Amino acid sequence: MKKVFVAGIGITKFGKHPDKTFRDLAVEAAMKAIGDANISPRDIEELYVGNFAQGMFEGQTHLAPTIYGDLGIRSNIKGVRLENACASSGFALYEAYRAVKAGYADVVLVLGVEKMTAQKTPVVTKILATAGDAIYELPTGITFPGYFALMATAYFQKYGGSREDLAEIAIKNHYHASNNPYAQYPKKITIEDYFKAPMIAEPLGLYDCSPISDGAAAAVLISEDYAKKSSKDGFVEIIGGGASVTNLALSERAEDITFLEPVAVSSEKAFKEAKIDKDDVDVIEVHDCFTIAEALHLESLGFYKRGEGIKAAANGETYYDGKLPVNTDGGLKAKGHPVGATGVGMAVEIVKQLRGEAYNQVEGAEIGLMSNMGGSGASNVVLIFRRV
Amino acid sequence: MSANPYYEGLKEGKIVAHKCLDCGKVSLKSTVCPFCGSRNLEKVEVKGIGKVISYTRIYVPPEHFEDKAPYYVVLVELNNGLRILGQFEGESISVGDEVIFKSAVETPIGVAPVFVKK
Repeated sequence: MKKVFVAGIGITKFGKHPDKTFRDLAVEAAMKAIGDANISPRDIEELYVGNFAQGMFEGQTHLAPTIYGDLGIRSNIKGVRLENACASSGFALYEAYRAVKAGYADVVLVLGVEKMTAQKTPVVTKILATAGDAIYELPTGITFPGYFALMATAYFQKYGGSREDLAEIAIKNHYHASNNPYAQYPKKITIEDYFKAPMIAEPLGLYDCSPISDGAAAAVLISEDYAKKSSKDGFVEIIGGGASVTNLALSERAEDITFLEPVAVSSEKAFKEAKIDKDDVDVIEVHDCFTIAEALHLESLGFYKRGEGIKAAANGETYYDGKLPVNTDGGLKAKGHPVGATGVGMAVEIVKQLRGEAYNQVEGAEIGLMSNMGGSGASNVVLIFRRV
Repeated sequence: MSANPYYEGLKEGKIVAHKCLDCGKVSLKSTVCPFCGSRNLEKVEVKGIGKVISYTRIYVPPEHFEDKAPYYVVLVELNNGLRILGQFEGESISVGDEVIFKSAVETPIGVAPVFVKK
């Protein structure tokens, strides 16, 4: 097995881009990553595109050839689009990592992209809901906020905790976003803002939910052999990865719906491959599609005991200067959640942290982890990075 | 919307499920047990009585549900262990409340069970 390095990263601002197609966003992020890696599009040997639903949002599928042409790659490469709901580009990154690790390719481009805001909210809500079980669950009128509302209610019942705790998670992520010009909502919020906002799916209100977003993120992965030939330095190594899927329907999952089994399993696999302990990790990005999901991630990843993750933000522990910095770019909550771009977007923040280039820099960060989840938690991928 | 035994059963006022003869769990799947992978399944009609595992009230609905919001969605565990997602009709609901399957609601995207308090 070969060592795998992140040679370049690129990201667009997340938010509303009425004047740009998803292809414009994809090219912007990819060209930034290609430039950052100091390579040419012709050097790319494999292309992995993570995208959830551009076919439904904008009527375009077959994305690998679409992006291939737009980037002017012009060589006989392997290209594929991967879909695992909100974890689409996290899984694309994982597959790209495995391709380089296994020696199939020396230079791989991974791209995550989604353009969502051209559709009205009920249509977006319907499209997002298709990541749930269309036969057994969607006819109830369940939505994505609804799935996580079910988990939040079950959590409060089992462990305690309240909307005040969830508010602190949103306040923390908005605080981080307030320093990130690439975030969709780079502004602080107060507890009054949180409680004044409308209810979306009880007990989750507007500030518990990640927004509807457009955006793209990209990364160039290279092998150790290729890195030796490169004039560039300051690489970040991917030292471990793990992925897991489980049953699609929430009713067919683990008995305790507050435990995200694929998160726990993918985390265990990634730590085993990276040969490090949880205490070694300096900064993490977790999938806070809803505030409660950040708490569930912290517990299912094993960083907090069950029932204690919900207090982490309120205790100040997950701020960028706390003992376990979480979502230092603002998270999905405030940075934005262009579904297919989210996984690579997390990797971009971790790489920035490990290079010392982040907006909310964690002092001396050497090891970072990302955990990117699909749908209501039926799929998850974890990757662990180290500064070289 | 495609026909399946679950929808047909709901429309006749029944919850049609399958019991796995290997692990004993009951699910809505008719071919393979989602819990153990066995294909040794037996069709069973389930009594629609159980308790609420969790619930939510949806204020921002998806397309086709705009005129119904706000509405309740409940995750119910029936007395034989089958978990099922359904709508709930009533003023208020709590975790642990006993509920009973009342009727089916037909929507443009499929059929769902409706529960009421027992």
